[in-house]
Amino acid sequence: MPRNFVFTILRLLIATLVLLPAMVFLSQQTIEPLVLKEQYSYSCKVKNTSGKKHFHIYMPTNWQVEEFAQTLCDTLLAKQSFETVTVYWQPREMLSTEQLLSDNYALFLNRDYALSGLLPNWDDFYTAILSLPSYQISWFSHQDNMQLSANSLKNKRIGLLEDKRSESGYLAPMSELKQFGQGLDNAQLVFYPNRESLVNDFLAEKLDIIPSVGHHGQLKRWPASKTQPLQHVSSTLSWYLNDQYADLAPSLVTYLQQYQSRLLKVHTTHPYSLDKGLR
Amino acid sequence: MNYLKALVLFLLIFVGLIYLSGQNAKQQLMMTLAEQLPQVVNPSLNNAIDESQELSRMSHSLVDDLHDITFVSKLPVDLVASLTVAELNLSKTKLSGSNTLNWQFGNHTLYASIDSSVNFNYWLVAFWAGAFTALGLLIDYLFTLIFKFQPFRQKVSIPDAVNSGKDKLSTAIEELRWFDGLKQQGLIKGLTAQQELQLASLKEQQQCWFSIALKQGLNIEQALKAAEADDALCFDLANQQVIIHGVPIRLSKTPLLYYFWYAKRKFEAEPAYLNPPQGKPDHKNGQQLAKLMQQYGGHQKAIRDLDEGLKGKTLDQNRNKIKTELQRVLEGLACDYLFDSERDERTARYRYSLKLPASKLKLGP
Repeated sequence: MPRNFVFTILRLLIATLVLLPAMVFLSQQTIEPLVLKEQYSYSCKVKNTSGKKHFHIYMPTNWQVEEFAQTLCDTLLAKQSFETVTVYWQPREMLSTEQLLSDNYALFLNRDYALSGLLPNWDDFYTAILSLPSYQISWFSHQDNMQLSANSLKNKRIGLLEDKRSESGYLAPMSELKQFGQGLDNAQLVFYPNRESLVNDFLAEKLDIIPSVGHHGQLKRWPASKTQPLQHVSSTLSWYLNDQYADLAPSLVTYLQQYQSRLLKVHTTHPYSLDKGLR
Repeated sequence: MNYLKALVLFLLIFVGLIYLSGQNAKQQLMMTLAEQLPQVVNPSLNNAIDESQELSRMSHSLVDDLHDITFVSKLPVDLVASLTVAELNLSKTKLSGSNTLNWQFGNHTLYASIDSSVNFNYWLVAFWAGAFTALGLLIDYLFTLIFKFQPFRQKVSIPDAVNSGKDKLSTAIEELRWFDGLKQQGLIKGLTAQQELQLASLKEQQQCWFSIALKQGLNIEQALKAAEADDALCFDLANQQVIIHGVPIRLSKTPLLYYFWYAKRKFEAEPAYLNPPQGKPDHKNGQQLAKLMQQYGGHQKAIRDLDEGLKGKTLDQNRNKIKTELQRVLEGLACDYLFDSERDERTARYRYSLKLPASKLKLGP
C-alpha cells in the first residue's frame, strides 16, 4: 500500500510536470505600461476654494518645500481662485523654454541671466519681487595656506557639481580653474550629482579641494587657513512672480522673507551668504 | 482513491498556477521599476538637501502611484487581476532580499526593496486548474495504459469472463501488483501469458516462496514450481545443498552433515537427541556421525574431532550455523525447517529434533 501510494504521487507529479509548459504559458501576462510620476514636486490642495487654477512654483532646492507649499495652501492662497499649489525642484538643466511656457510657473527662484537664457523677454511675464543677498564662494582644502596655482593643483583631486547651471558648484569654480590653464588634467576633476555627496567625499578625504558656500555643519567650523575665497562674487538670486498674480506680491514677499531668513540662518555661516541647493 | 487523486492533482496545479503567475507578475513589475525608478528618483535627489530624508519621502510618494497595477495576457486569461505595491523602501544603504533593485546615483549606489501583493482571479485560476486536472488525469491514464497494464489487460479477459464485470478486473489488477516490486528489482523480465496467470493465482505464502526462489537464482519457471511445491526438506549431499520447498540452499559441509544426521534420526523415528553432558562426549553417536562424514567427504578436522566423541558444544555450534544460513535465505519461513527443543528435567540439558515430520523429509534427491 505505501509503495502504491508513493507510485501514485509520482505519477501525479509526472502529470503535473507534463502540464508545466502549458501552465507557464498561461501564467505569462505582460504588465500594462506603467509610467511613474516625477518625484521632484510636492502638491497640496488649497483650502476653502472653488477655484480651478494651479499655482506652480519652481526653486532649485527642496528645502522645507512641504511646509512652504502647505503655508500657501492653508493661509496665503486660501479662498483664492487656486485649486492646488505645487512646488518643483528639478535640476536646472531640465528646465526648458517649453516647460517654462507650458507649466506656466507662477513663482520662480532663479538668476536673471538664467531666466534670460530661457526666455529673452521674460520681463514681459515676470517681475522680480524679492532678491537674496549675494554670497561668498570659497575653496575648501585639507591643506593649510593653500594658494590656488597651477603648481599647487598638481595631482590634487578636485570635486565639483555635475550641474552645469550651478554657480557655486560648477560655473564659478570651473572658470577659476580654467585661469590656471594648462597643467590641470581632466582626470583630476570628479563630478557629483549633489552637494551632500560632494561634501561627504571631501570630509572622507577622498577629495583634496572643493568649492562651497560653507553650509555644511563641519565646513562651518573649517579653519580659515584651509579656505580661500573665489574671486567671483555670486550673482543675485531673485524670486520672480508671474504678472498675472501681481496682486499676491505683498503677502508673498512677507512670507518669502521669513522663509529666506530661516534658510539663511540655518544654512549659512556668513550673514551675507546663502547656501545649500541655491547654487 | 480516484477522487483523492484528482483532488491532489487539482491542488498541485492550482498552487502551481498561483505561484507561476504571481512570480511572473512580480518579475514584470521589477523589470519596469528597474527601468523607471532611477529616472524619477535621481532628478529629485539632485537638488535635495538631505538625501535620506528625500528617499524616505519618495518611498511613500511612489507607493501611492503603485496600486492596482494591471496586466494583459496573450489569451483572454488574466489569472492575475492586479498587483499592488504594499511597501517600497528606497535607501542609500545596501538592502538584501530577493525583491531588491540597485542603481547608480553619481558616485554611489541607491537601493530599493519592493514588497508587493498580487490579487488573483481565483475563479479563473480554479477553472483552469480544473481543466488542467482533467488533462492531467487523462495523461495519467494514458501513461498507466501504455507503460504498465498494456500486456496484462489482454490476459485478464479469461478470469474476467468467469468473474464478470469491471470491478473484478480492477480487483485482479490490484492483486497482481504484488510482483511489481520484483519487476522493479529486475528479477522478473518478459512474463508469458501463462506465467502471468499462474502468478495471479499464487497465494500469499506461495508468493513469498516465489520471491525467495528468484533471489536464489532460479528462473521464473523454476521459481513458479518452487512456489507451488510442497513443504519438504530434501538433502542433496552430492551438490552440498538442501532443497527446501523446491528452493536449493547451499550449506557448509560440516553443518550440512550435522543437519543430515538430525534428519536421519527423525526419519528413522529415533527420539529427540539429548545433548551429551559437558566433559562426557557421546562416543557411540560420534562414531556414527564420523562414519557419515567419511562417506560424504566431510572435513578431516571435523572427523578427527568426532574421534573424541560427540560434544554438546559442537552440536550447538552447528545447529546455530544451520539456523543462521536458513534464516538468511528464508527469513520468517525458516522456522519450520529448524529444530524443536525440549528441556530434560532430570539432567537440565536440552534435547533437539527436527521440527518437520518424517513424512516431509527426503534424505536423497
